[in-house]
Amino acid sequence: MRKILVVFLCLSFVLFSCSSNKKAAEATPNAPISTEQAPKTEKQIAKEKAEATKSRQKQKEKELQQRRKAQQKEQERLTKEAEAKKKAAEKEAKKTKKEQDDLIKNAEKTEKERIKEERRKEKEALINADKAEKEAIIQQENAEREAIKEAERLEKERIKAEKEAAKAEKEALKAEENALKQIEKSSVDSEATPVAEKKELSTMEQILAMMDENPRDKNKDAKKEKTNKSTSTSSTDKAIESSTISRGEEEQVVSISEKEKKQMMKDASKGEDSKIKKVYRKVVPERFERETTYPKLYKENPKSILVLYPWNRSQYDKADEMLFVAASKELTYKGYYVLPVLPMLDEYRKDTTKLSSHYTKLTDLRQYKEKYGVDAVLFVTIYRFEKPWWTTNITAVAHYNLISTSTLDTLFSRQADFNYDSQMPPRDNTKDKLVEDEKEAQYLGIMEQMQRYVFLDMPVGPHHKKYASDQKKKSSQRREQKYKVTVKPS
Amino acid sequence: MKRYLFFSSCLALVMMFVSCSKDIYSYKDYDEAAYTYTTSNDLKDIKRISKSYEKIVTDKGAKKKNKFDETRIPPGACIDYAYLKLQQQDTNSAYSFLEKEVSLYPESRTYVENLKKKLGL
Repeated sequence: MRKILVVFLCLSFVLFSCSSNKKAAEATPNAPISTEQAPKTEKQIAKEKAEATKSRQKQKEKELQQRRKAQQKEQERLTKEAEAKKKAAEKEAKKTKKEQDDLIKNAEKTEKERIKEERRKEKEALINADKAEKEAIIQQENAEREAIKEAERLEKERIKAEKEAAKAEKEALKAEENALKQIEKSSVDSEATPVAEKKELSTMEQILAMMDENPRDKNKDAKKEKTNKSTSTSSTDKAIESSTISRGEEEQVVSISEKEKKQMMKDASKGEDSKIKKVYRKVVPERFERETTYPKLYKENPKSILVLYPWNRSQYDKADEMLFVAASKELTYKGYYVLPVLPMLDEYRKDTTKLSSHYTKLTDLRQYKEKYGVDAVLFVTIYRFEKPWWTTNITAVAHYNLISTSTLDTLFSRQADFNYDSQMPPRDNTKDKLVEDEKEAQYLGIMEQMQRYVFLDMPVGPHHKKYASDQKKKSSQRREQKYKVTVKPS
Repeated sequence: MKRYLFFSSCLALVMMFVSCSKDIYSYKDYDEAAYTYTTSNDLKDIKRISKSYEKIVTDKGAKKKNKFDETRIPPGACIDYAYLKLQQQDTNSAYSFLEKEVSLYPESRTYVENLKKKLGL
């Protein structure tokens, strides 16, 4: 195309130049025709030159215009070709996209079908497994039933055999009785052979002693009745044989009839309180003396106590620390010597398995006695210490066990369920407070009050004024040592 | 007049039965001090705690009118104070307060001796 354009431009240039020469020749028609031309002036020459230059410029402009037109045409053609190419490329791209989408769809379909098949297979496998399990269970149950039936059958056969053996033994005993009678008769008739009779009697006595000593022999009553028959003339009715207490040194109850059972139950219930009394006791519990509720504590008489670090099973992290401090303080108010808090706490922190209520065992208490010189150890477990958001009450549940280090007996046990209807105390604006958090300070105070109620009826220790004089003091705590206290601040 | 006599007699009876019960020991700020020790072990807190224990164990916290009664020192307080003094590197006062504890409460002898061995006193 470029070559065509170049050729076209050259031709146009040539034609234009030819036409310009013609025009230039035609442009001077009035020139005189003479064989001898007149000499040209400078002005005329300049004019001619200017006209020539103008004509050349015009030619050039025309050529340029022609070139531009050709270029425009070429550009339009190129643009048209480019657009056509674009359209073709878009079409191809669309085709490829369609093909890819189709491929993807086909792949998804195949995957779905594969997944469906896998699930179907899994379901079938599960169903088959369930069936197999059920069948196995049914077979097992059937086997168990058969085994039970066989066991019952065997037991019946054994019972039958035992009965037959008992019958045989009875018959043997009867035969022996008859033999004894005959021996007695013969001894009465003839006194010549006392030695042989004695021997026979000794043998018979030995046999009887052996049968009495045999633990498998179930007819002991029959033999004892035999001995009793020789001494006394008691009746031999079947009702008495089944429900009598054998006489002699040993007392053994074989079986009791239903009438006797009812009679015994009636006799036992005569000592209980009536319903009215029971309701009254629920409202006004019976008061017991301290020496009846805590006899071991008065007997052991501990002087020093070790408070183990509590086992905190509540949701409040600091409950164990608070209770550790408050319980040791309250026990000192009761007159006991309690080991100090700070060094014991540091010792516990070095090894939390020691000196804790959670991990110490009863076998470790002897070591504590030798090491610390304490007479008793207090185990505490905190189950609950919380304040729900919808109430102002603070609930605390804990279990206390005071155990002796010498005898390992529980001297004091208490399950405490403490409910405190709290009100937020007024703000304390004093400076240099040790416990800056008001909530913690409140909880600490409540824990102290809880300990006061827990150890309220505990016998006092040697450092108390009323030591050894509070045995007869009565308390309304139940014998089970289980109570619930609700306290409201005044 | 009768009403006045009646109310005055009631008040007198009430005043008679209301007794100012004294606790055996004077703990003062023991609870808060011990609890802060459980929660923090900074030197600043230890100094504050030892100050509160000082009021319990010595006569610094007592009023001028009332004499300081050593029998009202609670058991274990002297050992706690001695332990705090050891952490502040004051061994002399720690040793003296340990001996004081033994003098007040003889049943603490075995524990105090073991503690001295452990702490190197």
